[in-house]
Amino acid sequence: MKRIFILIILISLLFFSLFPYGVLFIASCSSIPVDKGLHSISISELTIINFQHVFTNEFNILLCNTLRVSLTTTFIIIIFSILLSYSITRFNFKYKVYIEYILISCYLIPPILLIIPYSRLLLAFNLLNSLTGLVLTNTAFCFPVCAWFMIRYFESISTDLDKSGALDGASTFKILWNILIPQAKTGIIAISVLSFILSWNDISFSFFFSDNIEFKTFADGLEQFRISDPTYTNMPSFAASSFIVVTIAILLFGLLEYSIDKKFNKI
Amino acid sequence: MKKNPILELENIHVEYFDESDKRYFTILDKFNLSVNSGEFVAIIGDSGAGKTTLLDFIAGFIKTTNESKNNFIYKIILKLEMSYKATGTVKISGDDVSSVEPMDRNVGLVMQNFSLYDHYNVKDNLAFPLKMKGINKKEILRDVNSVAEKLGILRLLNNKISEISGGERQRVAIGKLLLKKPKIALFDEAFSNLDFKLRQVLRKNVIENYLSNENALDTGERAVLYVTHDLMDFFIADKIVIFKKNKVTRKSDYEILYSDKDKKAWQKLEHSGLYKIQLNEFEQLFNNYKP
Amino acid sequence: MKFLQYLKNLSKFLICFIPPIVLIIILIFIPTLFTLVMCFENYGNSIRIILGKLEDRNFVNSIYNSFLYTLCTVTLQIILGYLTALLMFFIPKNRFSIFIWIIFFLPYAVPSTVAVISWSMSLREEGFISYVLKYFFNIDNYSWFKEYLLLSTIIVSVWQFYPFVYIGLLTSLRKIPHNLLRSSEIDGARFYQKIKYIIFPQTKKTLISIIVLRILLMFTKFDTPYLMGINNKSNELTLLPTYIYSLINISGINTISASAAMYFPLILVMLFTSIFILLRIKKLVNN
Ligand SMILES: Nc1ncnc2c1ncn2[C@@H]1O[C@H](COP(=O)(O)OP(=O)(O)OP(=O)(O)O)[C@@H](O)[C@H]1O
Ligand SMILES: [Mg+2]
Repeated sequence: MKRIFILIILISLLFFSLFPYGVLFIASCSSIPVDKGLHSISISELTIINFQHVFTNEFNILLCNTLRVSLTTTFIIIIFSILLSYSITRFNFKYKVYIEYILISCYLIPPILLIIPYSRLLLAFNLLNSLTGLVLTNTAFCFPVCAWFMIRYFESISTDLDKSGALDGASTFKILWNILIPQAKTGIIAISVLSFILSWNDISFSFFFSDNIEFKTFADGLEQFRISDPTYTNMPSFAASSFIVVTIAILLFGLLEYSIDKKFNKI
Repeated sequence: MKKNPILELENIHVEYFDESDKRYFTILDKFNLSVNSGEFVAIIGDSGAGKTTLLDFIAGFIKTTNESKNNFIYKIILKLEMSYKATGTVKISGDDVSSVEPMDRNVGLVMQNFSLYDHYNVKDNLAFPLKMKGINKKEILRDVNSVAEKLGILRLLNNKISEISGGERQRVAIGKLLLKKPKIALFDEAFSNLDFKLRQVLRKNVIENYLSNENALDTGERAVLYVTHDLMDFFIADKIVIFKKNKVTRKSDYEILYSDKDKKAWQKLEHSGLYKIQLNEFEQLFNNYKP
Repeated sequence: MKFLQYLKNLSKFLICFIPPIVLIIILIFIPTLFTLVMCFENYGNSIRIILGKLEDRNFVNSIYNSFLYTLCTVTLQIILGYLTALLMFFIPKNRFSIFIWIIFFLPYAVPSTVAVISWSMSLREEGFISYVLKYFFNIDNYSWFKEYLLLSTIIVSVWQFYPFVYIGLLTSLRKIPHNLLRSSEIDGARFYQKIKYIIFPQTKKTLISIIVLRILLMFTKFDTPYLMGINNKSNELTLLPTYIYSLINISGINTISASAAMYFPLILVMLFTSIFILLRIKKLVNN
């Protein structure tokens, strides 16, 4: 009885979360414009031809840019947040609580208001219309929350582990590398997912800081594309390209989760 | 007068799934044991021989997986979630409890790593089993205080779990079991962190009193199963279960020594050849223990 | 000797501490400060503007809408996220659980643009949801998307962001020692008691921090409401961020300090509440 109840909740939640993805898939398979609603499409009208048209030059550029920006951002964020949380949780110094508060309160400022200082900063370093500029702004946007999570993780690892590592003769950085990082692995993965997704899905920075398609990321490029096509005539190919991008992100995370899953397999 | 068995284990068979080999291996096979009311059973064996597994089976964390059950959904569930296979029956006071959940089994267990709730303080930890039973707060407080006094942790009642020592944690875990007053008490190396003297005192105060119902309110039947590596525990054991692990197949053989008219169970231990103990050494220890 | 040791320690600390702090100062602290200065710059002027705006029904509406939106989305997200995390935690690991994990995570990996498009396709008058409602419950063919813009924005936002809650809670659920749950079973805790007395207190700290983060994030959320609005081609739904954006758009960058100023009191209020909550976390955990 309990099992059936759980099963029902599970299935309805799965449906809720999968539903728009399914809509996207059907839309990308339809050969006609989807004005009439998806339920009116018959099975014989489904086609995969839209997927073949996806890999145009523009789309490839957008995809490549997005991958580069979000992977670099994630890498930077992980390194820096590990360093920060290590120094905060493992060394004693005055006022260290306030760093946390600063991080959190930085997160409070709505990104809209940061657009102007950022554009001045990027202009000063001649980084407008470049991927580096996007990486920097994305890093600035994701770093506070990621670092905050990381500090929480490092706090939860007992200092007994450091002590036993030190007794075994490991140096400070060996302890960090061999003991703390493996212990915080789930946290690191969670943070990498978070920062990757935030920069992968970012619209506003790309919208404000680059006007050339060569330096735009996918979400923004798609939005431009959609605005230029208000009557949804290109809907199927549009849906197909979104479908592919979402699927790539999903597969990446599936792989990540699968790798932790294997490490932490318990009954 | 012949006592009825309070706990009967019949044909217990447990297999675990080995992640590296991707197959099941047998750990316990055809294990039979019956324990009478008021008995103290000591369990010894090599590390990894399946002592904890046996206690888990009695407590109900390992349930029988009935593969012959002809039910489609059940089979799928079995396929999905089992990292072990188990068959056999557990009877408590004659009732078959093999498919009963742990909370309904009337069994208490002090775990090897005495897992305590670290979000509560000592007092709330002790009170937890009573709170689950829905007993009112005044009675809980009275019982908790009396048990804490018996175990010598009265002054720690308001401490957090992270602030007390290993031995004190162990005593809190034991206290939880005493407050629950189960028919069958399972101790998994429960006294291993205590010093020699304290162990002796507690053994007398806790286990023997527990079995003889001295301070208990109800006069139910009791039995204690006790995993130990301490020789002293064998002196008071009515039965000794010895596991011997086979290094290659990982299956454990077992042997049970009973105390009878002529000899105590511990005296047989020497002849079993499983533990190389000199009898006279043993006797000396025993004599020291007696007064 | 002691001094050398001290120097060694200090250098290690600095190696770890300097790079992230420099990053914070350059990329986060200075721009934030810049914004704050901008807010204060012509504060007298800004206050006049705000007072003037108070008569603008859109502005008052946008504040009201923002609070409503934040309250609803955060509550629903937390409920759904906790439920999913609990489900994933109680469903035993098996070879399908990775797919379930992926499906639950999916909405978070969908860019806002795509999410809005995909939902609005099914919330339109000809869309799938209206069709199902008409077919099974004989409810009129609404364009839900147009009639109930706030409601559909809330649905989309909840869908988009509940995986955040779910992932955070699941990691903290998985950190609960397995034996603790077993131990509670031995102590006689039923299923719901286990959740109430063991699982909930063990995840309380994470839960509170997630709630704080979610409130802040949803309150300043710009892209989803904005995209929902322009898809609808009406200005019926105005939240505070979209209102500010429209101000920037209409009157150019010059009034940004005024719009920043409009945000400023709210930022202060939220700052104090969040620090208050953060301080309470430590106390809550200690008790
Ligand atoms: N869930 C499990 N899955 C697979 N193998 C397991 C599992 N639990 C225990 N085992 C294996 O079963 C064997 C017996 O374990 P058990 O914990 O019962 O030993 P034990 O006799 O209590 O040892 P110790 O004295 O060290 O506590 C061990 O080799 C262990 O690796
Ligand atoms: Mg054991």
